[in-house]
Formats: sequence, structure tokens, C-alpha cells
Amino acid sequence: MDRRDFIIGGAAAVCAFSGRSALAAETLIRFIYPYAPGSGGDVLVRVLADDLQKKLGLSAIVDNKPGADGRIGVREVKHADPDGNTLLFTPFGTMVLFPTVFKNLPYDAFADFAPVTQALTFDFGLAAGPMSGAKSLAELTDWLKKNPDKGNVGMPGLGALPHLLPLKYAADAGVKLQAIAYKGTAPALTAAMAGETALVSAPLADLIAQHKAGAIRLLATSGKTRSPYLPDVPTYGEQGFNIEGSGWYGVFAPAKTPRDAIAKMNKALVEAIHSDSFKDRAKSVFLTATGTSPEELGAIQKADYERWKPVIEAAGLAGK
Amino acid sequence: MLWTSFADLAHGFEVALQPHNLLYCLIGVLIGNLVGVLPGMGVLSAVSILLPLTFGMKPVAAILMISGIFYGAQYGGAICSILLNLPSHPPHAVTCLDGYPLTQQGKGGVALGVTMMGAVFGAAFGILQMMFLAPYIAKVAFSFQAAEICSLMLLGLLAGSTLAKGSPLKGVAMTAFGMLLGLVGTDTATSVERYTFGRFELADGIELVALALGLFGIAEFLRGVNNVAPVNTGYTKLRFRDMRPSKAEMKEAAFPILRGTLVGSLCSLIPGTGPVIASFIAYATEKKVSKTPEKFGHGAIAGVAAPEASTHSSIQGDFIPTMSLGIPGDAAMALLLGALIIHNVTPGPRLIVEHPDIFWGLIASFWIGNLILVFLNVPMIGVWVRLLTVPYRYLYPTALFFICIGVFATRNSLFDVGVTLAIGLFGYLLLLLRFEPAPMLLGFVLGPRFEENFRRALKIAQGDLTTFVDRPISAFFLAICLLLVGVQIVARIRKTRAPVRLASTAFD
Amino acid sequence: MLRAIDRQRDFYAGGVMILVGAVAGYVATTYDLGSLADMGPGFFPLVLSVLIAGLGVAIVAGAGRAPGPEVAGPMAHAHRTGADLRGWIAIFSGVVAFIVLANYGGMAPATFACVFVAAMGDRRNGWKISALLALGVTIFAVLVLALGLRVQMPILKGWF
Repeated sequence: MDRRDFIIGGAAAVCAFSGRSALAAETLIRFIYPYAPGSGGDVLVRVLADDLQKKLGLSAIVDNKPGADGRIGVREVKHADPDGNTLLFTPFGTMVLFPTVFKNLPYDAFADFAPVTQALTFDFGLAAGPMSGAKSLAELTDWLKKNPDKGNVGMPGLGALPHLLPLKYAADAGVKLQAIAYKGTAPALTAAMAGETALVSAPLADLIAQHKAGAIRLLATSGKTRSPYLPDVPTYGEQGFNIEGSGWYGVFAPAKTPRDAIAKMNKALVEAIHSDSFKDRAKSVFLTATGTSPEELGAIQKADYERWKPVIEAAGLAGK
Repeated sequence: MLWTSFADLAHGFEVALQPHNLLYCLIGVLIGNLVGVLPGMGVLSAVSILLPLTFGMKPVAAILMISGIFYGAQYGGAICSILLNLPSHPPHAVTCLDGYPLTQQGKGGVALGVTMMGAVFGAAFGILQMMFLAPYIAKVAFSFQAAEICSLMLLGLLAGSTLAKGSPLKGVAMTAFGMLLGLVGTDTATSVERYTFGRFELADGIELVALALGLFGIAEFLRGVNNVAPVNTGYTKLRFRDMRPSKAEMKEAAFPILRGTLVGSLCSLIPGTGPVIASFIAYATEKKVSKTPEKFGHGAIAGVAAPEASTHSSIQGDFIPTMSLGIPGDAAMALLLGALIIHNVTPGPRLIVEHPDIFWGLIASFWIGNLILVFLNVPMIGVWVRLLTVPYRYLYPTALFFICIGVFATRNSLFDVGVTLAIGLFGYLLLLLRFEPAPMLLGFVLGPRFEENFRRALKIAQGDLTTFVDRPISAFFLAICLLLVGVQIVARIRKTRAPVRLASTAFD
Repeated sequence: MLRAIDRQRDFYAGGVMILVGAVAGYVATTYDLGSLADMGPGFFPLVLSVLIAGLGVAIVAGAGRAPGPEVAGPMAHAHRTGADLRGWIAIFSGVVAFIVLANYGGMAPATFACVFVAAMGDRRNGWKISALLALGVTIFAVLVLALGLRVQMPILKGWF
């Protein structure tokens, strides 16, 4: 083998290699979920990937990239190849609240990402433990006025909706409510059940099982309308408070992804999201499947950002 | 009540013994065992990786397998701690303290044997507790609120400050330094990022695995390379009876195992207080109640038996709040609940009633899995001990790699590997200055929980410090703290008077 | 003689703690201290920093005065001191090689480089033995960690 052969052979090998990886990249869709397996939306993105695989013959995998409240995984998608095959599946916080909450965010939620579709929505709930015995917001307000030193509400972390919603309730009702942050919903829930705090505020889905078992009592949900899973629990609005806010899960692509690639992905995803199997799965974890156009998701993201920014700033929770 | 339990258990065995389920239980404990032996590969990372693979499985089989990984890992975890002084698995870090000296004395096999005894007893106790008492004692968690947890952590920190050999002053300094390292990351109460120096990779804090393996792994290799004399010659001609604990040694281990088991079971019921904390508290307790505390750190059987038993009983006990309340006590249990959700089982207080096949099948599989593990591991002791005949010059590069990949796999972060290296370098400096790494781990584990609960308790009590003494359980722990400190001071005054004079005459 | 070494060592030991306390304390002052009823993120770091620095002072003050019992460290059989530049560089570079190659090459090259470089740190290990050891560990890693336990790192980036 002389030198020229060697070079040609090498070049061929390089071509073969790159060709192979390009081919692999074309068919493999990689969802990045920026939290640990088994947490929150992990189940649903896996069902989604599974549906894409079964129904549309695409191969799709889910990579968990947990860390720093999701910031690490989101940053990874920002730097991924914009070929439409790496997608971010994230709850709204990273795309809507973080730009206000964190000063040194390693990504720009608007400039670095292109929206693909909103997948699911969910509500938040405020529940009372045995301490107050309140059965409605009105009863709670009375109790809090009589017991101003016991107005503690537990929540998983600060600066997110489970924090902002009860804060607004307290301001509107004229009662004193102190936010106590826990590491996740589980300890916050235990605290309310044990009577360490009077209240717990968290995603509704995390509270339903204990509510049905009678360990806590849901006082209000945060949606525009009542949650389909709890038709007998009124919303904040029904009880006379101008408080409303829902969360969602959305799919995003790196900003430079071509428009037609996004359109193609959107079509496939919306089809999967609208399938009965996905809807059923969403129901089983108390979420609601939606499936929007990229433009709609972009509008929702922008509206939510503008809506919560002043609230976060007023609460003194903006990044310093 | 008792009889229905037995009937349910019989049904559970039916479920667990179905070939399909039995197979997955076996796979789970085997993977767990393997993961436990490999330095750095944590249970959490193994489960995180394997959880998605259970997606297509039946729920019962998936739960049995994942649970098997949890308790299976504890069986493998002690091996590297005892034989190589390498805490491959955080709950077993404290086992290094007396396990490795035993190995140096040629009793590595014995230490592993004692570990097995502790494992069997601790696990059996934990499972029995879950079978008969789960619905009642799950509520114990409710009595442990911020003030109680805070006082308990303080007790652990005080008792543990005697973990160190050598200078007590340096031991306390290391505990405080460990607490400081534990503060790195996002402050739960205010969401402020502390000591992250703008790196959001540090926002979740330093990984316990990174700290343990940096201090006990990399730092030790830096000290050991080209320096370690071949000590392990005694292990080349090992007979089986050298590995069996003698009657006297079994007797020595019996009460520590019992006490360790009780500590572990108590810790498992307190939310967020898992096997790592349990093992440290069990060791500290054992050293406190021992008639020969001076033997600790130099190969005390009790120093291996108690923490090992506590780890196993705590791991089994951890399942109680998870299964009977639907509230996970720690990150590992949160993953298990995630697995349940993936399989369309809603965890919650009604799980036992609604899914008896899962609850009782799980309990039955605990018995089966632990039995498999014992039969698997007892004969393997002889094989593991052979590990000691591998020359150090092959051992340390291999272990170094396992540390790197293990730390990486914990949360898929190469940044953490760099952190481990930095900790290793600084840890080496500390070793040269004769600081002991063990109290640092203790401070790291207990410190953040102390701070979090101290601040929370005060916030809830509106700044009223009497909350810590008004609450009976908290007051009880604080009383023990006072007693500990008092005894220490009295003993110190008595002891130092004479020896100081003696020492000064000896040296001047 | 021994006493002089001990005193010197304790002197440095205390110094390191004072330094740690000072740096950590300085950073702590940039956080909010809060009040007793609502403690800020700065309170504990400051208390700990002061405590650590104070203990450092105590260690320096007590340097060599009361020689504690001889510490039988976990590696008591190792020589007491031993500046071993070759070993240190090898271990350090081994980990660095792992980080770099895991990022750009994948698990197989990272494993091989890490073990090979680290093994070269021992004077009795030649490059052949080191390479053999590295190869063995690499095979184990690929089979057990990558294929068996599915650690989320490509075996060879771009290929698998």
C-alpha cells in the first residue's frame, strides 16, 4: 500500500464514519429532560418517546441531565446541533421564571431556543394540614387572622409558582403568611401532615393522593377552571381571589434549528400528544395533554414571562 | 391483625416466587451487589440508569428489581471499605475506620464475616418491622420536626467529634470544615447560592461520593504511590477457618449489632435521615457506650458490626414511610416512587390496600433477596480477600479509574470528577498535616441538615430559642448532648493533669 | 527531634485552618446575615469560619506542647513521608486525562488513558505492564459499565 492509497483509504474511512454518524443522527431523536429519572415529567417524556417510536417509526431516546434545578440540562440543549434531533422537554420554570429569578443564567430562554410544542398543562394547589382544620379559603383567612404566629406555608423551593400563589393570596386577604422552603414536595407535605406548618403549596398532582386519603385538605386550585381530577375543589378565582396560574411542559429545540425541521417535529409530536394512550397516561399522573403549534407555545412563553416577572420582582425574589 | 399479616405474606411469597418476579429480584440484587463493590458507583446512579429500562416491565417485577439494587448494594459496599480502605459506597465510609485496621492485622475475612452477621440481623429486623408495624410507626416521622431533627444532628455531631484518632482539636476542626463544605450550593431556605463562585455546576453542592473518594481514595493514593510496602503477604495462604469469626469475636459483635440495628431503624423513620447518617450515629454511639473506646480506630470488631447493622436495618426501614405513607424519605426512595408512577401505580397512603401484591410481594422478595445475598456473599468472602494479594501498583490505577467513572455516573458530570481531584489534592495536604478525614465526612453529612432544620425551627417558632427545650424529644436529645460534653470535660480534666506533667518530664 | 517535626507540622496545620477560616469568612460576609427569627444564608458560614479560624489559632498555640499519641493512620505501613513527584504527577494527570478524553473521546480512550498514565506513576510499572493493565480495565469498563450498567457515556464518541 503506497502513500496515496493510504490517504485515499483514510479519506474513505473518514467519509464512511461521518456518513454513518450523519445517518444515525437523522433517525435518532434525543429528548433531554433536565431532571432525574422518575421525577415529575420524566414519565411523560418517556411515553412520548415511546409513542414516536411505535407510531411513527422514529427512534427516540430520553437523556436525563439533572443538576442546578434544570439549568445544566437546558444549557446542554442550547449547545446541541440544531438539526431538529435534539429536543428539550422541560417544565415552564426554566423558560419562564428562571430568566427573572437567576442573574447568571447560562442561556437566554428566548434567543437560544425555538419553541416546538406545548405538551401538557397542570395546576397548583394549596392544602391545609390538620393544624388549622380549614375547609375553604374563607375559613383559612379567619383562622390566620386569629393565629397570626402560625401562618406558615411549606413549599418545594422558592421563587416558583407554589411560592408566588400563596404569597398573593396572603397579600390580597390581608393575612400574614410565612414561606418555609423544603427540599422538594415530599418533606413539605410531611410537614403539613405532621402539623409543623399549617399549609402546603405544591403542584396539584403531588397533593391529590394525600387529599383523597384525608391527610390534608385542598383549599384551592390555581387554574382558570376547576381541575378535572378534583371537581369538588374550587379555584382561587371562585373564592373571590384574582389569583390564577398554570404550569406546563413544553418541547424546545436549539435556536438555529431550521423551520421545516421544527414543523416536521411539531407534526409528529402533536400527533403523539393527541393519541389516546398519551392522554390516558397524562391523566394517570393528573396532567392534561395539550399539543400546540410552535407559535402558540412561543406566545404562551412570552406572555407567562411578562406576567410573572413583576410578581417575582415585587416579592424580592429576582436575581441579585 | 397478626394473622391477616401472615395470610398477606403468604400471598406475597406467591407473587415473589413467580419465576418472572424471582428472576428480576435476582437480577436486581446481583446488579446491586456489583454496584456496591465497585468504588464510586452509587445506588442512585445505578437506579437512575436502570429505571428507564424497567419501563417495559410489569410493575411488580420492576419494583422488586429496583428494590433489590438498593439492599443488594449494601452487601457489596463494605468490601472495599474493609479490605482497601476505600469507601466505595458512602454508608460504609465509617466502616473503614475499624475495618481496615482489622485487615492490616490479618483479620480482613473476620471483619467481612462480622459484616454479614450485622447485615442479616439488621435486614431481618428492618423487614419484620415493615411487616408488622409499618402503618403505626410510619407516623413516628411526624414527631420528628425541625427542632427534633436539629437536636438529633447536634447530638450526632458532638458524639462524632470523637471519631478522630489523635488530636481532638484537629478532629473538631475537621468536623467544622466538613460542615463548611456541606454548605456549598443552594441554600434551601433562601435559594441563595453559597460558595459556588459563580459555577452553577456547584449549585447542588458537592457530591458526598466526590468528597469521600477524594479524601479516602485520591488523597490516599497520593500518599501511597511508591511508598506502600507489600503488607498483604499474609493473605496468600488463607484458609476458610481464618475467615470465620471466632466465638469470642461473635460475642463481641452481638450487642453492637443489636444497638446498631436499633439506631438504623430509628434513623430510617426520620425523614431525610438515611443509611449514611445512621451508620455515623451508630459508630459514634458504639464508641460512647463501649468499655474500651480506645480500641476504636485500631480494629475494634464493634466498630464494624454496629455501623454495618445500622446501614442494613436503615435501608429496609427506609421503605416504610415510602410504602405506607407514599412519602419518600430520601432521594433513593423518591426514585423508587418514580418507578411506581412510571408503572401507573399511584403511591400514597392507600397503596397497601390498593396494591397488596406490590407491598407484600416486595416484603417477600426482601426475604428471598437477602437470603440470596447471604448465600452469594458468604462464600465470596474468600474470593474478595484474595483482592488483597493484588499488588498495590496494579490496584491503585484501577481504583483511580473506578473513582473517576463512579463520581461521573453519580450525576453525569465531569465537573464533579474535577472536584474530586481538587478535594484529593487538598485532602493529601491535610493528611500530611495529620488531620483525619473521617470527622470531615461526618460534618459534611450532618452539618447541612443541622443548619437547615435549626433555621427552619427558629423561623417557625418566630425566633424563640425555647422551642428546642419545650419540645420533649428535642429536649431529651439536648440533655444527652449536655451529658456528653460534661462527661468529656470531667474526663479531660482528670486525665490531662497527670499525663501532661509526665509528658513534659519525658521530653524536656 | 520528633517533637520539632510535630511542632512545625501543627504550626502549618493551624495556619491552613486559619487561612480556610479567613477566606470562607470573607466570602460569608457577602451573604445576608438575617435575624434570629429569619436567619439569612450568611449566618452559618460566618459562625463556622470563625470557629475554624479559632481552632486554627488553638492548634498553632498548642503546637508541639502536648504531643498527642502517635497517630496510626490508615496507611501506617507507608513510609512517614515520601515526596514522590513521579507518582503525584501520574495520578494527577491520570484524572485529568480521564476528564479530557471522556469529554472528547468517550469511555474507552478515557479509561485506557486514565489507568495507563496512573500506572506509570509506580516505579516498578513499565509501559508494557501499564498498557496491559489499562487494556484489561478498559475491556471490563466497556463490558460491565458501558454495556451492562449503561453508564451514560459513549464508548467511543461518534461511533457508539
